Amino acid sequence: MKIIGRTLIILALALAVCGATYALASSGSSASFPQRGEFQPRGDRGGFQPGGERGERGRGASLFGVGEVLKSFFIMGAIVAVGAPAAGLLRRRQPSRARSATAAPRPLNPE
Amino acid sequence: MQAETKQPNRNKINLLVDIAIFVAFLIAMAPRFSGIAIHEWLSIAFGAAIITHLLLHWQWLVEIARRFFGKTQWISRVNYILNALLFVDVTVIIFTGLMISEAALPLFGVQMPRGGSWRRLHDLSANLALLLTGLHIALHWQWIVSMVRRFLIAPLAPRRRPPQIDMGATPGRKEA
Repeated sequence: MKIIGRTLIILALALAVCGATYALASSGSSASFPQRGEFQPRGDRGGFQPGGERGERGRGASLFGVGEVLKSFFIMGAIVAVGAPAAGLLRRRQPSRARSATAAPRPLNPE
Repeated sequence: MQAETKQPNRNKINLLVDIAIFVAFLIAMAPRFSGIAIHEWLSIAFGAAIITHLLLHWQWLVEIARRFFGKTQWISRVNYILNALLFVDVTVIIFTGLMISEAALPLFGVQMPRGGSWRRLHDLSANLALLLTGLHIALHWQWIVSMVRRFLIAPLAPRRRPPQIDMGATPGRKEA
């Protein structure tokens, strides 16, 4: 029963986010975004595009897409390589007395 | 003793769920690799996996939410904010993905209204998810390393046998 209640809370929060996203996308604040199907020069879209253009990625699976998996993997690896030592340093700066059970997520108690 | 065998190891469950989420995330981020249908269905399943992940860490979420403005480690606050951003971002990815769905929703005869900025929002939130997921993993790196060592590497590594002491043998004596 508890788990159902918690799941409903998570879904309610997700629904609130969806509502906010819908409002954002529908409102004039997103007017700067290009409309679907609108012509857009490729040069305007800088940065990493997961999956590339929708038209490019097609509908079927392809082993050539392994590059995308590796790209995501290495990007996250680079972030972890920088972030993990930094997080370790920050934790060490905390006084040991202050280190409590709140430092890391704890698993759910058995119910 | 019997209770110990019945009680599943929470860390092991967490590790397995997290590995599954990570692999699903990598595949879902590469629709050219998986194909659009798998991309969409996997992303929907990913949402369910995220709910499981949150339920497994519910106690921590509630505890930090209570203490957020009180006495708590500030790295826990950073962690909490990062997790909240990640939750919002993943929700946006799944929602915008459903709005531009080409395989999952049309299967049920649901056609979402075309147009708007869904595609752009989907790309932006997916790019942001890469960064946030990387930071999320970085903050939990020590736990990941220790759990991988404990549950994946240690069982595979050959066990070191303690040196057998033969009480009857004397040093230098050769057995026949």
